Amino acid sequence: MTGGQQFDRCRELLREGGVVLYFKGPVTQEVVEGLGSMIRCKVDFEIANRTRAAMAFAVLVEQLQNVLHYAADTVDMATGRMASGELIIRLDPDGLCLSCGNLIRKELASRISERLDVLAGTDRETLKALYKSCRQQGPDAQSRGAGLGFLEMARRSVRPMRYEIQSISDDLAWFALDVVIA
Amino acid sequence: MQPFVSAPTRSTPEVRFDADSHHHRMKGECYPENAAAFFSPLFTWLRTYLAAKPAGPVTFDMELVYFNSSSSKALLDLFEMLEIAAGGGIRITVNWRYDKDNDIACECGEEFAEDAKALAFKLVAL
Repeated sequence: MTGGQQFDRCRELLREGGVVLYFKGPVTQEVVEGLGSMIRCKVDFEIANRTRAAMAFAVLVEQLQNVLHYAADTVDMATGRMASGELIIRLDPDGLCLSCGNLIRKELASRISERLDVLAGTDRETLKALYKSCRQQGPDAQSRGAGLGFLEMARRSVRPMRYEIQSISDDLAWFALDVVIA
Repeated sequence: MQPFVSAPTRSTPEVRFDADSHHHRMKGECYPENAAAFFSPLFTWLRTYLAAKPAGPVTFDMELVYFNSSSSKALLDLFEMLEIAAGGGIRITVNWRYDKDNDIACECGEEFAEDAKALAFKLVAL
């Protein structure tokens, strides 16, 4: 199959899904910066709303930096970290959906699902209070950042965040998280 | 004391802390891959600076377009350090300068302001 045919097949699939952007490949801090600036420009230009552009940017950065911090295949290089990730930004009846997926080590799965299940059942005011108290307390031992990424995205999501964890092998699982912004 | 100066990058702000003028500022984006590594030298400088108990008014102009969740924790730590110093008698003002069309930037400032007591934390819409 030539590149041309592959494009045709991909394009067909992406069109059906209302996809604005599909990215699959190595994620580095530079990729986060580039894709972040792209989505900020696009939302700012098309919707002319600074708050929504800032929300799209914030969710994209948190999603992709989670890949950098927690993906199972992350490598440390002299210039920073690199890991494989996938990002789909698509139109959604409620706004714009930013889905991000990456491989995780299976031992992280239960911790991730516990945290996300709690957040999905938490209302907006409680999320704000939770964000402030977690920020005050500081991260747990397993966090590589401040441990606030999921909370930050939950606050920006117009409906409860959905996720999927699929077993790939004895050690690995595929994790994908959907965040919908207005 | 030498000023602390850090040039801006795509994901880190311009930083200029000046012990002579007591006027300090951070301006730009703040979402480094490793927030702890970025903030660590700033904290080191500030600890030394505040330990010398500057007598005159001290101003921090903070104009951050966006900061990620790890930087949010680091900023809280920074404001707590200033809060303690202000409680100890140093007159400190933080000007949180934000884009008036960006509700998130305003809300973030309000959330920091809620915890400020001795510290004068002002929200400045641009």
